[in-house]
Amino acid sequence: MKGLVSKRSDLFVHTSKSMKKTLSLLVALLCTTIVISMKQEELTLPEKVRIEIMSSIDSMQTTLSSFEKGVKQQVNTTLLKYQFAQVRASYKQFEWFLAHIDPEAVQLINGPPLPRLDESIPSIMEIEPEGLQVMEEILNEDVIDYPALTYNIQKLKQHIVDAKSMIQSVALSDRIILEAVRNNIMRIGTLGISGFDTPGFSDALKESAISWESAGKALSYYAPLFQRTSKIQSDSLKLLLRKGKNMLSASRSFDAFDRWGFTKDYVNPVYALIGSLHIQSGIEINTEVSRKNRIIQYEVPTLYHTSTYDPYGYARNKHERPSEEKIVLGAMLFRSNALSKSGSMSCATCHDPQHAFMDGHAKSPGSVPHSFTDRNTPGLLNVALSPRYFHDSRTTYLEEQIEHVVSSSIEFNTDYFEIAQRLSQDVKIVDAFKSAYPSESGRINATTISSALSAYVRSLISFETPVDSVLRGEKSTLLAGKNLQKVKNGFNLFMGKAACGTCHFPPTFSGLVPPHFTDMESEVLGVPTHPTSKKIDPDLGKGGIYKYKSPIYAHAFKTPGLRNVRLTAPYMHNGAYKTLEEVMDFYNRGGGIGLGIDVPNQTLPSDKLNLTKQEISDIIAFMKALAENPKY
Amino acid sequence: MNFIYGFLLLMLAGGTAMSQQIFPALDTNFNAKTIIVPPSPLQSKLVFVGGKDTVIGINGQKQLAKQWHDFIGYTPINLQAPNDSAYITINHEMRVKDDILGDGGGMTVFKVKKTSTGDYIVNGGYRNVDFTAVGNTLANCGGISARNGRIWTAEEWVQTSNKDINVGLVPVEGKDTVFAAYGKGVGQATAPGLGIRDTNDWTIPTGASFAGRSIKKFQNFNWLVEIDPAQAKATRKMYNWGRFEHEGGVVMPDDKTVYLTDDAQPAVFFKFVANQPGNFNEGQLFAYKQSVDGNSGTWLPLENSLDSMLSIRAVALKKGATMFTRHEWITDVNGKVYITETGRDNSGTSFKDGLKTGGKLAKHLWDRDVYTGPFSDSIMKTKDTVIIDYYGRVLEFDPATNKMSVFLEGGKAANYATNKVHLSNPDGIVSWNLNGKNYLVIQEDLNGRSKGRVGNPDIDGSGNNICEMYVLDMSKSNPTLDDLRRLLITPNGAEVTGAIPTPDGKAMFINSQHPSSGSTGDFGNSCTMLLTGLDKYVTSVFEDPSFEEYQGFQVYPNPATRTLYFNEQSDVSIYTIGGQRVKVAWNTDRVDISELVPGTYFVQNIRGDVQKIIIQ
Repeated sequence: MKGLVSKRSDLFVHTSKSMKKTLSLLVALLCTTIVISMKQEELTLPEKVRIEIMSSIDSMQTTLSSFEKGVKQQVNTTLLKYQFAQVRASYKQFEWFLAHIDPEAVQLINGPPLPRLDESIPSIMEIEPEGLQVMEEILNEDVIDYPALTYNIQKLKQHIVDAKSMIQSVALSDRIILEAVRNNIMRIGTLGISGFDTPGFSDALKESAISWESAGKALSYYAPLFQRTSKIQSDSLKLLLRKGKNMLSASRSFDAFDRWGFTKDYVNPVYALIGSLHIQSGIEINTEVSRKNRIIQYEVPTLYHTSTYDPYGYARNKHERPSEEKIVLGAMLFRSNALSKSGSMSCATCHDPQHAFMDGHAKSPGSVPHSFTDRNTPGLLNVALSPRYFHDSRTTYLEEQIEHVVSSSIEFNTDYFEIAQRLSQDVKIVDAFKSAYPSESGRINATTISSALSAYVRSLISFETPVDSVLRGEKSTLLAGKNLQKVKNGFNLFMGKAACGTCHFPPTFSGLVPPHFTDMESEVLGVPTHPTSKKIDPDLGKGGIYKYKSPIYAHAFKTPGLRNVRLTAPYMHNGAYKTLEEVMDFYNRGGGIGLGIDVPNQTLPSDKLNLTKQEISDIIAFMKALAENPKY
Repeated sequence: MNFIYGFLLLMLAGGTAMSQQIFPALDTNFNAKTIIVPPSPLQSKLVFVGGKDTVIGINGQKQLAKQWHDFIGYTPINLQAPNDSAYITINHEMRVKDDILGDGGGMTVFKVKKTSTGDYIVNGGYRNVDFTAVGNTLANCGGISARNGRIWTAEEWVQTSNKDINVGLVPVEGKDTVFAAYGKGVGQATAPGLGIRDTNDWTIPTGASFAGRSIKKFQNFNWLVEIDPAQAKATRKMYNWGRFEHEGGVVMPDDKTVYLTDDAQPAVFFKFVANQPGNFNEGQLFAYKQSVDGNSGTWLPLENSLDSMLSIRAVALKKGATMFTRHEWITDVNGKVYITETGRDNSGTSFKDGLKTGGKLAKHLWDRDVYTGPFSDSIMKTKDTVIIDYYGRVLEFDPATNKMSVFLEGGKAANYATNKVHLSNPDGIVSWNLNGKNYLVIQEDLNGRSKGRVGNPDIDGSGNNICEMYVLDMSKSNPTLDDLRRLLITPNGAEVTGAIPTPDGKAMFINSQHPSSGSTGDFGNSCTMLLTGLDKYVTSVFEDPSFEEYQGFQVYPNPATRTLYFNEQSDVSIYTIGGQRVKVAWNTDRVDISELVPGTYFVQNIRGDVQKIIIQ
């Protein structure tokens, strides 16, 4: 019975006294197996996996030192690039594990090649980028900066040593291995296939194949346990893992890879099967180890399900729970003009529920005559899945975001004292507060007002577009035939040639970075004041925020989600573009730089995308399919 | 593919049921020993809630209290009976315009009085500290709470222009909205006129050094500021203590010597010595210079002129002052001074300019220098000084020998596998005398989560605490990280700042910025909490588990640390009385039960031995 299975979890599954009796016969029958497998029993499965990971790290140290020698001797560029590819390949063998144990270490080893600010220090201090992607960019230059490469190699060597000691000492369990493998499936499906971490010549799909296979190998240790758990599921998992790997390694070109099919047929089913087999096997899941509030619910089959996400994972009070009463009250407040001093404005004035929670204006009319908001009003679908609010990322919680609207002189122009006074005139609202906040005796104050409004906005989480249905493996009447083909092509371009997916990460198609969903990215695009202008919009965005006041963030804006983008024209932070066609044209030309604007810190690659009219039309078809009309 | 998901969803429902089946059936023959876990001896209550309690402002008008509580000061009302009643002062690390409470950051003061049961009650209302006379403050973070009750508040984040100080956001109900307060969020720089509105040149008022001299308004920030808690008024900015990233300081028992910390990189360690005890307007400011071997040091006198004070760090570095990396809080025990050096992951080129102007790198940092220190790689020697410093440390300074040395190096404890102690980025530090024993309380404020700094609940099953709070028994000679004990004093691992014990050590005031108790009323607000029952609590925290002679599975509960200890390395799982498995831990001699709500549970080890646990 034991033997091939992890000693620990197996024992745990079968310590029940009553079950022991029933199992004793089985155990006797399986004695032979035990004897045969005694030798393998010496190590637990996680320990076996650890040995493999440690040996992959050793191999990265070897490839790195070859590369270092190459750099020292300044060998020819082709050889140097080959050596570098070996370094990356060896890294991809254990990335799946390191990314789970220490996500920040992955940022140091293979983070984006862009400077950022040290937010822990009470002044503006830049952190220079480092790691593999920086090295790849250096290697991509016509003249290679060898000292810079050497400098990066030195730092990388230290990070590898740190990672090694971390992995050597971390207490492992079956659960951690399974979670890490499962997360890696999603990492490949949302990031790997878009080439988000290969800014130069590296082959994103081949690397994804290595990553897929390495994590799959760790999973193979659990095959006997999974076989006993559910033969059908275990068999299909094995088959899908093999076929998925083959699909990645058989890819002939980056642009031609069928990402839609890969997501639908391999990524999502494999993710679901690992979760299902894990739970059924009796191995504990994360909620049994710590009861912390989590954004991703492990029990849900895919990331394309609504119930996967708990928006309270982003709340100021992560232990607060929503209630029907809070949401009902929040919906009332959302539509109440009593929130504004002028009495003429509610949240719904700009975030119109009939209009995908925005208003169709480039900039929304304010409560003061002839005034306008500074920026375009965003839609609210899934907006609660974010650790940052406003185009300039200035607040951390939805509760704070609301306060900014309350105090803004061109929006509500008031404070919570006044709002509470006005609200307490309305008997219906007073009653709604009483039923929503009984432990607070229905007190109307800043806390309860923002709690209710947040509960309402957090109820607007939905992953029920036709795209979600089809990627979950369901049939969709809305997405079939010719249209389905167009949307597929569009998704493949979006995640491939057009590189949209390297910033608008699936499945939210926003700057929310999977698979941990704790970071929200901003980008510098160089958006002009209006479509025909050659001048950058003077709005500094994130770079205008006191704490981010650095040239690196000048004109940086949060990457918005694209769900319901069909309904939220005009586009960009300033509403400069009226149609998706105009937006696509902007990107196709290489953003601000492509338009001839000087944008020294543009983070959008300035290369032309060379998308054809047909391709643009397919991408737009895909974006338009990302629409739904949830119940509000 | 559709069938797979339908099937899976079905199986998931079934999966839960299956997990429950593996719990040992609670048959009546089952004779589990019952272990009682009493409630923690620690009691806590809220004494001041930002955004909720009303503060009396300028001209007697009312406003809801500002938030972002940080430093706490304790001022005995009667020095002969220092525990009986006191003024408590709270820093607000904010940046707002406010007609009632004043622009910028600020402080709130209130009186507390001890009751016969050892509890403290708030006596009278909350008052806003009026900073008008000193030209307001910005981002009040740390400070000094002297033995005799004198209070200074420290302004961090050096302001570089009048435009910078002028930006901010409109305060709403004593709001909690972040602003430019470092580390806590952001402000809206594009909205001028919402921070410090008066940007006229500032004339230094009488009562302070350099009185009558005029400076730019932005230069009037980033000083230490003395306040009078009884009058709820700021009395003077300490222009002769230098302008830098003030985090805090400590006034030594002679009432003349003040050590000051600098939260920057490079940071300089400063000392001010007054000519007369208690009169800090006249005296000499010094910068510390360590000897090359690190075993002693000298104090470099700094020119006492306003120009020199305005850029005092540069002046000190030019004279050859020693460079540190981000000094945070400071305290003294038995004549020695303890400083938290919080660290910074990668110094980049921060030390380069300092080295150029004459600054010298502290010995313990030089040892870590990637390029020129002992661990450097020979080929990189031409590069700039780069210090990789993920964990920081606690430093000890001995005024008798002028020796600055590492007291506790951050990182993983030797016995981390069992005690899960990992000291990272220490920030707050305060001495605590209780029943004749000295302790140090050390609080973390993490710079990052990588490199093992945060106990990741998903990986090692540690609690939900992001920033731990530790206590160290100072009677221990040559202490190591294994001597640190975790203080578990807030529900749900709320982040804690500004701990200050009462003089007798029996009670402690702490600030908690995210006290998420689950009730709606106070969530997300900054709260000041009072902790009592500390005598028993501390005894329990340092108590080792004891087991009976017999072999077999034994469980020993520690109600203070909310930990169950086992008599052997075990794999254990905990089940509710309904049979649901709620906690699993592998290969451990203890398990954290702070997250379990009171009730009856069963603990089972790998062999199937079960004990019943009643958590009260």
